[in-house]
Amino acid sequence: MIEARRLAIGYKNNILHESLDFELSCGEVVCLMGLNGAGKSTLIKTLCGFIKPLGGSLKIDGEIGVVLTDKGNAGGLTVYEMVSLGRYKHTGYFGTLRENDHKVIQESLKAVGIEGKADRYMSQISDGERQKAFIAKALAQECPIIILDEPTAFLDVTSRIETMALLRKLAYNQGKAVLISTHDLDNAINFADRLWLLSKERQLVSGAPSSLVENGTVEEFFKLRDAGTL
Amino acid sequence: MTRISLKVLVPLMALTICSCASSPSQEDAATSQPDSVLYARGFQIRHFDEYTAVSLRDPWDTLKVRQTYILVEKDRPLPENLPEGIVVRTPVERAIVYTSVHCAVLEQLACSGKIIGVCESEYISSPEILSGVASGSIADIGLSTAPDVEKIIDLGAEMIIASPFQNSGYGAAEKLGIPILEAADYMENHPLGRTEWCRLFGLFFGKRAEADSIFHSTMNSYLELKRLSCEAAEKPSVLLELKYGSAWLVPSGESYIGTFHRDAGGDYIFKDITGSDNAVIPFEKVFDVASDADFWLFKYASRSNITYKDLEKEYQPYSNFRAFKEKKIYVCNTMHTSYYDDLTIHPDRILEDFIFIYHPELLPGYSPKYYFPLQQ
Amino acid sequence: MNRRKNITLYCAAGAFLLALFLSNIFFGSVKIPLRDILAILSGNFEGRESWRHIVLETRLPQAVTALLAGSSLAVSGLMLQTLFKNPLAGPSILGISDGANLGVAVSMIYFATTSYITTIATAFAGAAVVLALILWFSSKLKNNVMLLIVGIMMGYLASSVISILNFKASSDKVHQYVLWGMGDFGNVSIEKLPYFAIIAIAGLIAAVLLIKPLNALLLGESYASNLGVNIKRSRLMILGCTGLLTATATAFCGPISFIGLAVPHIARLVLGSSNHQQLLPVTLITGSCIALLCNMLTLLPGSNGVLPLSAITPIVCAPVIIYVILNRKNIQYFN
Repeated sequence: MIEARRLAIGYKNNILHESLDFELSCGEVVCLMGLNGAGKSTLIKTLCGFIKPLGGSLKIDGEIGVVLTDKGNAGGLTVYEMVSLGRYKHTGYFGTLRENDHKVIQESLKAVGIEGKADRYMSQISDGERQKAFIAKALAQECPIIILDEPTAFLDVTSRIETMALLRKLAYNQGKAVLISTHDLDNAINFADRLWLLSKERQLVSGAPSSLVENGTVEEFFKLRDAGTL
Repeated sequence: MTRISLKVLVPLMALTICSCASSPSQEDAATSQPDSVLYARGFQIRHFDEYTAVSLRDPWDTLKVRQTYILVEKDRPLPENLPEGIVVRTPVERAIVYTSVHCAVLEQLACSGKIIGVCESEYISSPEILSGVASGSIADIGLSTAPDVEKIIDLGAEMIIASPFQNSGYGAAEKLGIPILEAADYMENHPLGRTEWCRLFGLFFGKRAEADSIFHSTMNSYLELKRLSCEAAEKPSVLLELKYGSAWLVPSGESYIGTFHRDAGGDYIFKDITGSDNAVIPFEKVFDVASDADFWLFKYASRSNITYKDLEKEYQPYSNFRAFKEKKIYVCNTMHTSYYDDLTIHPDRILEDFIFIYHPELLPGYSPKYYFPLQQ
Repeated sequence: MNRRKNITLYCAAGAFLLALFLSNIFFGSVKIPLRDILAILSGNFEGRESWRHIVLETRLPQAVTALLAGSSLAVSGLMLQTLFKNPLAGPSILGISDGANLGVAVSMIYFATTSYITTIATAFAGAAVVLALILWFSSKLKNNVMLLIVGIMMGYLASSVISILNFKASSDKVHQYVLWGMGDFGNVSIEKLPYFAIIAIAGLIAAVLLIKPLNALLLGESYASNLGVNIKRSRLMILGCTGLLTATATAFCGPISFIGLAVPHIARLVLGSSNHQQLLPVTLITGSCIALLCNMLTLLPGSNGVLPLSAITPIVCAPVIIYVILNRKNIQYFN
């Protein structure tokens, strides 16, 4: 789905990484991790198309649906209305929804589990539910690739687990390629098929969570040895 | 006995029959020689042996005295025990005059040589003053609201003549210690009252006799014209001025404009409005009351003369007035006539124009000077 | 359920609008009996000619002007508040009405022209210049907050030039300019009305066509561009539409403040929603209603006087907002 070869990312006068190689395939959940300043959000923005790559090749096979940390100004929209914005490319002049659009929206709502809150306003639901709503919107876009930027950042422990489980379910059941940028190491290890570890010194290291833990890469990346967490 | 009283009674009755008489105001004499001020309400003059006292009423609160000036001739010693007031040594030789109108008055009194500074020379119309400004003998001291104080000091002026505005001072000029004559002539309600202010200027500039004579000749000419207009049997109805923004600025019947048209033998539609300010009346009300007026007169200031078409383009409902349809609109372009300059010293000339419009048969052979028929 | 609620809402709004429109025709400073007014409107009137002129040539065009200007300004305000994500944005904030002001000040004070046509033309020109500058800046600045600041600065620049002109001008010219600055729905006569109407309606139609991207912009520019919105083009179109509506209303009626700022909030509070599919039409109708109401209130009841429009609009709008806020329990759109 996504293939990058010797990709250089960064800003006009500030190259963060000169040569990245990675791949993302359908049906898998990848967690992008790294310390602050490693360039996670730059990579996400480049993949989503918000900034341009500085060099190398980046092949994206399909459209991307994003889930970001912005809350925007959507408090006055109902959950249903917000999710229906995911159908933007398919709707008519005033955003009028057709029967197929309604079907997709309802399925997305059901897939994330908030169909009961469809008529509530976005400002009236909990943080966890709001996150699910944004994921539902990304689903409604019917894109093969979903990229999420810190989706569990402001959630409590239960919601975090729920969200990660949901994303894995979506990847497997709907065959989507899911890329999650996160700081949540524990849940990443539990739910991801692969980890991408991004750092200034070692660029991007990719591998299955279990092997990266076993060979000490994770420990090294996060300098956890002294803290004795593992 | 009866013969003498008849001689007095008959003219008196004639005056009262002609109901367009205005009442001159008399001064209550409390001192040596009160000077009878006939029409002006804004000032009083009292002559004493060693000085003359001029007091100006506050135009916005006529019970208060705004300022008193004590005029002492230069070739007399300054007396002791002078009453309260600003002392001015007369005749004044170096004066700063803020407005074009007052410059024109001084010109009439042959005192324009005594003007050493003016404000906003771009609005001055007198050629003599303008050439003085160009040659440098008369200074332009800038805006009347914010004059160049350094220049005023530099010029060594003995007096400043300015127009007062309610609640506004004269800026830094007040602190210079130069006497400021607050000429509120523009607030007089009677045209002759405005003219009478030239007598005041005459006192300051040592031209008392000339000023009195100018005033009396103007007054006689005006009253003669007024008597003439009273002979006309019918008074045509008159609408004045224009819509200004969202409403019509309607001059009151008691204002000097209202007085002019009454004295010219016209029946001003809004003559019953009292007070000296303009009334603000919505267009539809004016239209309802005045759509049938015989004549319509207004002033405007523009480089080019306007036409009936321009008026209609300006605001289409204007064309529904009867005076518009019958082409009985007369206008004065103040940029092309000497209306404002003549208004103060020669109101009789302006009165003549009005009489000629309302009753042309009374002035055969007269050519209008200010108000002309609106062009097609 | 939702649909039924919408239909009742629109019917109520429409009825309210019609009532206000007719009130503007029935009431004025001259008392004309209702019977006669209806006769005039239906063309069967035989009485005083001056009354026919008053109803058809003064009151009717004034009411239509108020209706169009109110909706133009309200819709402009809504679009700007959404684009800039700022509840305090209004048509005056980008300096467009200040540009119109400057154009008129220059023509009235500097060139001493009093013709109404010149006033419209120069107001339009001034607004167009500012709008062009804003659009140019918009292509150079990606950040909306920066663009807003630029707009505010240009507004201040225009105001200071106007101050200088005022300061140096004679009092009657300044007075005339000040009068224009007080706003007036009554200056658009029957013959000029079609021009105003065509441009205003074109702008309103354009605004309606922008409902879709406006809704997407509620999520923020990143989300919107991911959904497929061309951010640069949308911004240009929103600013262009706003500029056109504001310039037209200001050129024909003078600067009218507050309606563009307040009416979108009234509409949001009444609807409880930020969805532009309903919010934009409701804002449009509410804008017309408020303008018609203010127009009526410029006539002091029972006297000969007239109040300036610019004084009435805040007096009407502010209490309405306060009332609605106090009576609404959920203010969704602020969260």
